[in-house]
Amino acid sequence: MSTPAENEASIKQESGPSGTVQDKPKKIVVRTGDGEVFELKEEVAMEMETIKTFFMEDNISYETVMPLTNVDSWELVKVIEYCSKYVELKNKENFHKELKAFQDEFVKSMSPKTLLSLSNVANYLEIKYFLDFICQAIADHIKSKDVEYVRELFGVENDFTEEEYEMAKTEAPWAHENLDKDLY
Amino acid sequence: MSVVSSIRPPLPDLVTHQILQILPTKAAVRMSFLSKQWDGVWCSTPVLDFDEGDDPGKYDNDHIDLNKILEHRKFINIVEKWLEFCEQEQHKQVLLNKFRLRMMRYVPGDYDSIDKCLSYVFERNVKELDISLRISRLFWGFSWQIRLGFYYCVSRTTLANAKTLTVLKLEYVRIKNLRLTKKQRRRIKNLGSSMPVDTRLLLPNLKTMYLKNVQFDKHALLYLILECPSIQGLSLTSCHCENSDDFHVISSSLKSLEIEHCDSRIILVDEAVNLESFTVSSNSSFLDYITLCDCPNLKYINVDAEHLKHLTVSETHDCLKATINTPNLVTFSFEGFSKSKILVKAPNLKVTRVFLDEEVLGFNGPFRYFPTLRDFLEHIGFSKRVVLYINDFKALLFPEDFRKNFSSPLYGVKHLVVVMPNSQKEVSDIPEFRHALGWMAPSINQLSLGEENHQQYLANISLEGL
Repeated sequence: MSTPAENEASIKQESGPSGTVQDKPKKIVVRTGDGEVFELKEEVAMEMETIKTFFMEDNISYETVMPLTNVDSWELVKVIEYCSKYVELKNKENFHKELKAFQDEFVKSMSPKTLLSLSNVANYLEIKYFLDFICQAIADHIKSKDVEYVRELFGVENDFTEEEYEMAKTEAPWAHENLDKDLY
Repeated sequence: MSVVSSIRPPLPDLVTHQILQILPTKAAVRMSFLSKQWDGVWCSTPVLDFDEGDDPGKYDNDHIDLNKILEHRKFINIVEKWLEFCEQEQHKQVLLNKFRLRMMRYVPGDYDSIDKCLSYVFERNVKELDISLRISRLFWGFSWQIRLGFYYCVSRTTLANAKTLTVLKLEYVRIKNLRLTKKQRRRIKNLGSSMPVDTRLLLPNLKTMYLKNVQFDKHALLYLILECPSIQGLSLTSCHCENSDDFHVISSSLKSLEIEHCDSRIILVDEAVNLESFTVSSNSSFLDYITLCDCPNLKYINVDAEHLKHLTVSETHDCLKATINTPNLVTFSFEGFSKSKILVKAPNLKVTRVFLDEEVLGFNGPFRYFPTLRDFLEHIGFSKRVVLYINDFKALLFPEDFRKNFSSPLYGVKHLVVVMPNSQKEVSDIPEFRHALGWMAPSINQLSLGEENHQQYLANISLEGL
């Protein structure tokens, strides 16, 4: 025989989704472009402006599954990894030092193409600090590469003629010296 | 079933723009050729770094070669292209935080370009400025005097508009005496003295300054620092002064001073009430004197000077920690507190003068005072002749118990002079005092007790029977 107190407690637990169940952390559900469904902790999800706006502006219930059509699941995994860590470290004393260590690990084995994809996603999800970080990583990678390499990487079409380019190179030899004789 | 997209979407313009903006200038210039859309994006970044010399090996073996001269000209053209771009009206509001220009082949013909550059960056309220103008190897064969004439000169006019600077680094330039002439001062006065003094100073916001391979005109360093009322850190490396002049530093805001391998004869730091750290490192044969006075917050001194002859340290913090390595030091004068930790390596030291400032009673009692004083004297009193200036004979009245248990601090001293105020003339008659002195310096063959100001009253005390 359950006591009235217990009954009340169990009723509380069973109250509807929009009811105030204070003890359960809120989750936000999204679906990536390749069909996978992810459950994000509210505090991590709110780091992404796009998601934040979606739910906050029109007071949409957290029950709704938000579609993220331009994001692949592997990309979202990485984003969640970074944002969770950032939120965790945010108020700590050694924030900068620990963040730097985490950042170095994070990009360690990433190919340039991976970085570019992530920058795209960071831009789409509007996560400023993540975008800044990825852009810096990309900049560090391309700073000693030549123009052809970067064009290929960024997918930019060359609208300079051969002569224009050669002339520009002779006019500014300083900018074109000491480059990585690198592969793509 | 959704299809995983295998074609990567092109990078959005916003992202490309951001990446290009954070690239170092050299790479950013190169990326102007990504496509016409991105031509000139690099001109609007807040951080510009034009470094002609990031490949040092290339410049050390420079021969006089027309190609090299041409290359240098092209380098300057890039800088001027940037200036042109910025002159355009729509770009005038772009933020400029840091500007760095490093040349490895500077020639006097570049003077105007540098003037233009500096005048422009100051107009744009730049915060950090780093200029290095190494003379082209073309001129290395000339005499020092002639080469000096080729250096870019920094004068009052150069810095007239530099009020927003917080960090300044200068290398291979010449700094003129920035002192206002009488005529200039009269003119300012006539304009009305409603302007507070600080706004008339050239560098009111400067916090840190690094000067390397800089040539100072006579008194130029002194007057330069006087134009910087908020400067906290100053570092001088391999700087030269006209006629091996003095380096005189007066600054009430300076916290840290570092002087390395400069060739002045004297280094004098005066009235540096906030100075906390002082470091000198030099094997220059010119450096003879270092004097530090009236630096009540000075907690850290490090002097490593091979040819230094005379060192004076006075009115420092009571927790001073000093490390002094001066093989040729002849005299050392110290005025301060026995709590200071002074380590001196000076095997040829002839005279040490110590002015003890503290009161025995004000020192947490004699219990702490005497051991500290004993250690202090041991570290500092190793030369043959030691002169102690004290306020009260009681300052040296080491108690009997103490003397029994501890060894003498001044065991190597041959000649000890103790100077006290006039009123303590008869002190030599006090047996306790004689005992204390005898214990303090057991090997002396001459002891003099004297008055302040002149050791007129000298008594050769016999220390037999102690």
